[in-house]
Formats: sequence, structure tokens, C-alpha cells
Amino acid sequence: MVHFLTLVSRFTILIWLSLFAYEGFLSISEKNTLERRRGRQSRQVFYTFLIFLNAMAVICFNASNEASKEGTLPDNIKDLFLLGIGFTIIILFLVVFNRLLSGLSVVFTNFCVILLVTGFFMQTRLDNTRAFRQMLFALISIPIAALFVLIMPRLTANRYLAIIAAILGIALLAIVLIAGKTTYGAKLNITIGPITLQPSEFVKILFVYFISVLLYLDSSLKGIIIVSALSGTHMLILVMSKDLGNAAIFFIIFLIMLYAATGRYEWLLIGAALAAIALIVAYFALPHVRVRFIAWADPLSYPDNEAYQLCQSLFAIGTGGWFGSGLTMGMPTKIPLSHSDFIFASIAEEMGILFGAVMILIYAGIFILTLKPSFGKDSKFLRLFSIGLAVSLASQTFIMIGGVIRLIPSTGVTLPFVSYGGSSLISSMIIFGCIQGIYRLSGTKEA
Amino acid sequence: MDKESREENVNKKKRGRKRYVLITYVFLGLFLLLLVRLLFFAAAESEDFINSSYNPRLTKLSETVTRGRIKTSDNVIVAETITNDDKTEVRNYPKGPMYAHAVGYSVNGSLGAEKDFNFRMMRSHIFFLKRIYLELSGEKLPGDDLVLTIDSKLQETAYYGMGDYDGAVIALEPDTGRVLCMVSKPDFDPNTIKADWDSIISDSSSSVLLNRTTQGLYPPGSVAKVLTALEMIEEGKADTFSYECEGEEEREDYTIHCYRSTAHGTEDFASAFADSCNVAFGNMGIMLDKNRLNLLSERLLFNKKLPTSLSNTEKSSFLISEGDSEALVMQTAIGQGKTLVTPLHMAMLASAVANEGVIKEPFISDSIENADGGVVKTYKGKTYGSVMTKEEAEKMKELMRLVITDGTGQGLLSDEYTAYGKTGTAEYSSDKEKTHSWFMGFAEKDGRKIAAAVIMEGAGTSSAHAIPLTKSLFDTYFQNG
Repeated sequence: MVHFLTLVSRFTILIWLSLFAYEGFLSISEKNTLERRRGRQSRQVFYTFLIFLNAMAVICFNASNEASKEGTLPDNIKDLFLLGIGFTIIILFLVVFNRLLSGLSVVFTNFCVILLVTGFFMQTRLDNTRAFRQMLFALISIPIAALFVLIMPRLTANRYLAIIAAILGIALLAIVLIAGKTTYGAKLNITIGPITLQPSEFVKILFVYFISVLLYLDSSLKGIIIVSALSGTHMLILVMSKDLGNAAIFFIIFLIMLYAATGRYEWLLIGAALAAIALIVAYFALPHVRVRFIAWADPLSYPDNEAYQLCQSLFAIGTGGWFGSGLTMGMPTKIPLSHSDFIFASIAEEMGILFGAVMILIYAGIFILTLKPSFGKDSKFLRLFSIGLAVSLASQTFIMIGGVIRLIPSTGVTLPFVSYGGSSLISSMIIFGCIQGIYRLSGTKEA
Repeated sequence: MDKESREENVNKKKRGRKRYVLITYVFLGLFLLLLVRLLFFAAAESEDFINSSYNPRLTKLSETVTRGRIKTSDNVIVAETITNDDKTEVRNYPKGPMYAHAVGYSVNGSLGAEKDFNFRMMRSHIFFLKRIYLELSGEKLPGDDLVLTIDSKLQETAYYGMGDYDGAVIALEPDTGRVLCMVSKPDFDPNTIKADWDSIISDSSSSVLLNRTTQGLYPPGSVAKVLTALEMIEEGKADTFSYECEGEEEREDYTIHCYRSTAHGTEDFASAFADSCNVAFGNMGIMLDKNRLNLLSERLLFNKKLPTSLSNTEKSSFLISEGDSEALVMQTAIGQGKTLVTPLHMAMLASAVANEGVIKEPFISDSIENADGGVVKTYKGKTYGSVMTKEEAEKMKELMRLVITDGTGQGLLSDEYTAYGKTGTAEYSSDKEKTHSWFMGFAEKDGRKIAAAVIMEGAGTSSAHAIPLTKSLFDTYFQNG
């Protein structure tokens, strides 16, 4: 019976998620009355809860099934406990951003919440200790994001602040390079006491800020050279730390913002050419880059060494198929980093490729929503700032999912809102807060 | 603000907006790319990954699914899983060693179709109400069945035709690439493979696990004259060729012999092929442009992985260069040089001649059926491409027909069908009396065709062994028309 519930839930959860996305996109695109939009948005919230309860029910029943077989119960209780905490956090989140704070985009909130929810139940299924911590991170991130909503009106294009942001960013990345510990071949984290931080996640936001300020104040050649020098230093340190995924993200952010500020597509061409040269040089000069390319080009020829992780990811996604194996029925833990860098493969395996496809649509929706409040507004600074944030989320999503499904060589970055990790989640939530702040500031009519 | 500057402002705004629209579309394009890639992977690529033996999920499926059966194209069950009263499962192979290499086994690793279609048989596509019923009652689902392209009568004929000889038989349907039979000897009994395992792997001399149809590398002997002959045609030297065969001829310090040193007298190109005249063909080798011959061998799939979905195929090898000694050139031209070929490759070349020069990729899986016989997936042949022109194929066909009517292959004359082919007697050791018996060729009747390659190790001349086997194979095929 539990098995049956698990199998049927694959379809029901996919249906809830599709309806959720459908209501969301209609709410964005339709020129509807406020009332109709409100209706769509409350249905979105309804589907969100349905998905969470449905998924958690499957996990709890399966755990109790296992427990009754083995005569142990604690895991089952832990899962129920997580169901309660998760539920409370979702409500808290929705209350803060859809009720307490006015003038925000409800659809944007909903889109981010559904991703948080997906992260919650997937982390619970993978490892409930981690799920508990992820929920705590989410809880902490609520006031932080709310704070950013409130301080957005005070955020100005201050040259000194921008320089400080740039230097702080460089310093943080340099500390990681010098004192960071190496995980999976790259230096990403620093550990202070009990806390492990991934500073690049936060530096990304400082990076967007200083570029938007400096380019807003001075987009002459001289200004561009200064910005390029500062940005280049960031990327150089990231490459030296072997954090290629983030180096790529920083580069894309920089390039797109440069184009947005100057309107000269020559920069895009020069940037693309530089990127191509850098890739070719990296391919020949850096063995760890070459390995990624080899794995990407022909994973099945190196299933137990170079392409181990990628193969495990593709085995998972492929075997899961269109509708997935059902929660707890797959073997996502066989994929290294199944909870963070490869969370998308874990989700696709158990929830199905179609579920993954709808998730990609939701990320595309988030991209549209991050750009929307600054579109056509007079404040060029905020426009640059929000385009930087939008590109930051979108390129991270693209590099992450693209790497997992072998569209591009894989590099270790996290999936915004879903991957396990406090730094990743909180920095995503700060971006969320900034964008909602711009909605509130610009008074964009409800989207 | 005057009108002009206001307009300028509007223009500026419009231009500004344009960039944002462009950026938006670029990123939406990237998301679309992700979506397309994911769906493409699911639809077209995932099968390779799912079936990889490195995929740890396959073992888990056996908890909920009983492995499906393997059947021949005429519905004879060659592998099935029997569930005992105590719920333990045993894989049973009703035909024993007859299908050993084609079907393979699934203990101690796996081999053959059992390996290549492992995951297919571990999935269940039964009617969903039945599925729900079985799931609710906690029973295992019956896995899907694999239907092979192999015909049980041809397989039986080939298997018994081999007698006690080691070697290989493979037959293909030239216009589709379907494998009609696949026999490799020595064989093993898949029913007792687990018990026999130690003796099988310790016996390195006979290598029973080797599928000789796809992995056996043999000297081709006179069968290689097909390559030499085609090059003669392509260089336009065939029509004017004539040679006086005295049974043997000395070149440098090498003597080339015809079979039993029989003097063939004056041979033109066609009669030299029909009589399999070594002296004439050795001299053709010397006449030919070695670079072009190398290129032709590449085109005829030497030195490369054969285009087929069959697993574990070896590459045939062929190499000749301008600097080679005359002796080596002559030997290569008659298939006694360093050339090595697989029977599958020879059957594919025979197919190409039968099929106007076009090679279809050989495949062994006809379809996947659910436990109730409903078709889940049908495998269609793939076209590899043309390896010789239609005219060349026609000329080769004439030559290969002459072998049957006037030459070394007269044992294949039949009123029922028209046979074509090339015989071969390949020396494989310094002892010239020890020879492999080869045949490659095809037969047709009213548009139905079958191509085959047969090798019987150490059996002597082809007329005594490979040809009678091929004859009974072709007879069986056209009787069942």
C-alpha cells in the first residue's frame, strides 16, 4: 500500500507542480484584474502546501514501513518532526513576505517558496539531519531577506561603498584561497569555529553592487578599465582556487552588466572571444579542467574515474525516467554531492524528468520576475543592480543544471534555493530580498 | 525641454530598453536549451546510460520485477525465469548451449543479449490495472520479454551443422541487418555456467566465452579476394587482366601456390576469381595501387569498429604499403598476409554485395514485448551507408555467382534459389595442411535474401565443410519462405 502511494504520488505531485507553474505564469503575463490574480496566487500557495504534504507523507510512510520491518522508530519520528518544522517555516515565510511587508511580488515569493519546499522534502529524503539544518538556514534567512527588503530604498550608488565592496570581496576570496580547505579539488570554504562558510556566495552580491555603482557613475573607457581590473582580480582568485563554476558566473555577470551599462554589443563579442581563449588555455594548461572536458565529451568511457560523478548523475536521471522512481525508491545517494551540487539529478531521479522540466520553467520564471521591477524605470543604477542579480541567479542555475544533464562540462556550483548549504541558501535569499525591495520601492504594480 | 531633446530622450530610452529585451531573450534561450537538452537526453540518450553495467540501480529492480523472457523471432523461448515455491528465482535456458553466445547468461557478470538488454527485461510494461493489482497484492511484476531477430530453425541448422568443429556461423538479412543466426563454438551451457565457471575461465586455450562471430579474428584466406577483386574493378584493370597459371610461381624467395598446385591455365579476371587462383590474384596484388587498396579496405570497414549495435565486436585488420616485399603483397592479395577478419565483418560485406553496395547495421533485437505480448518497443535497422557503387556491387555479384556455377562453390547450386559467394581455405600455421574452411556469400529468391559467413576451424577445404553447412542454412531459410 505504501509502495502504491509512493508510485501514485509521482503523478499527483507532478500535477500540483504543473498547476502551480501554470497559475504563476498566467499571473505574470495576464493583464487581469487584481482579484483574478489574487485567486491564482492563493491557489499557488494551496498547491505548495499540497506538494509539501504529499511528498512528506510518502517519506514518512516509507520510513515507518522500514522502521516496522526493523523494529526501530526514531527516523520516522524525525521525519514527522521535520514535516512540522517545514510546514511552520513555509507559513512564516509566506506571512512575512506576502502579508506583513506590502508592495512585494506575491508570485515571486511563491516561486521561491516552491523551490525551498522542493529542497526541504528532498533533503529530508536524503538525510534528515541535513534537512533539519537546511530548515534552520531557511528560518534564519527570513529576517535577513526582510532586512534587505527594508534597506533597499537606502541603497544608493555610493562610490566609496562600491570600492569597499570590491576590496572586501577580493579580500574574502583571497582568504579562501589562502586558508580555505580543499573539497573535491577546489577551495570553496573557510571554517570559523563550528561554522563553515562559502564566501563566494556572498561576494557575488558585493560584486554585482560595486559593478552597478561604478558603471552607473562612469561608463567611459576609463571607468570600464577600472571595473574590469577589479572584476578580473575576483575571477583570477577564483580560478586560482579552482572554483571554475563561480569564476564563470562572475564573468557572465560582469559581461552582461557591461553590456547593459554601455549598450555596446562589441563588449559581448570581445568577452566571448576572451572566454573562448581562456577555455582553450585552461584546457591545455590545467589538468583538472581537461578532466572535466573529457568526462563531458564521453562519460560512458570513464564511468569509474574521470566521469564517475557525471555518470552517476545520468544513470539516476535516465533510470528515473519521465515520471521518476517515486520518492525513496531511487538511489540518489549513489551520486556524490547528491544533496548539493547534484541535487537536480536526485530530484529528477525520484520525482521524474518532467518534474525537473517544470523546475527549469520555474527558474526561467524567477529570471523574468527578477528583471521585471526595474524594467523601463528611470533609475539606471537599480536597473543595473537588478540585472546583475538576475543574471547571477540565472547563470548559476544554468551552469548547475547544464552540468548535471551534460549540456556543458560540470563545475561545482549550487542550485539556488534548493541545494543544501547555509551560504547558498542565505545568499539566494538576500537576492530575493533585494529584488522584493526594488518591487516595493518602484511600486511596480503587483506582478 | 524642447521637442528635439525630448525625442532624443525617448530614443535613448528605447535603445536602453532594447538591451534589456536582448538580455532577457538570451537567458530565456539558455533555459530553453536546458529544457530541450533534458528532454532529448530522456528520449534519445538515456538508454545507453540506463543499460550501463555501472548503473547501480539495476540490481534494485529485481526486488520488484521478475526478469522477462527471451524469445526467437518465431516465438521459441530461449531464456526464462522460473520462480520456485520458496520464491527463489532460477534463470532457465531451454535450448542449452545452442544459444550460448547469442543469448549469453546473467550470473557472474553477464554476456550477450542478457547483458545488452538487461534493463529492458527488468522493466514491466503490463497493463496498468494489472500492475496496480499486482502491486497492491504485493506480487512481483512480470518483466518485459525480449524478442530476438534470430530464427530458431536457422540457429538449429547452423548449430548442428558445425558438428564437432570449432568456429562460427552468422547469417544476416542484407536489406535490414537482422541477425538470423549466430553460432560460436566451442560453447557452454548457460544453465550450469555458475557451476562450470572455474573450469571455463581456467581453460584459456579454447576460450569458450569468446563469441567467435563478432570477436574471432581469423586469417581470411581466399575470402579476401573479394577485396582484391573490387580494387581491380575500381582501378579499371579487371577487364584486360589475363594470366597464365602454372600452379605455382616463384617470386624473390617466395613461392606462391594454387590449391594443390593445380595449374589453372589461362585465367581471365572472372575465372581467376571463380577458380580462386592464387597465382593470378598474387599478381593482381602486385599490379594494384597500395594506397588505393588501403583506402578501399578502410571503406570496407577494415581497421575500424564495425557499425552495429552488437556488443563486443573486434576490428578486422588490413595493412599494405608500397614498401612491402612482393612476397607480402602477394600473400595479402590472397588473404594470407597479416590480414585478420571477423565472421560478422565478412557477412556484412556479403550483405553489401547483395544489397546494391549498402550496409545495414547488424542488430539482434527485434522488439520488446510486455508479458502479455503487447509491443513496447520495436527495433528498426539503421543504414550505415554505401561501401561500393551499385555497378560495382553488380559486378561483384556476377563474380560471386560464377564461383557457384563454374568455380569452387558448386556445392551451393540449387533449383530453389540463386546463391553467390566466395570460398576460402585459410592457412593458420606453418603446417600448410592445417586450414580453416571459409565461406562468405548470400542467396536470393523472389526478393528474399540471406547473407552468411561460415568458418570451421581446421576443417580443411571449404567444399567439404563450410559449403555443405551454408547449403543447409540456405535450404532451411528458403523452405520456410
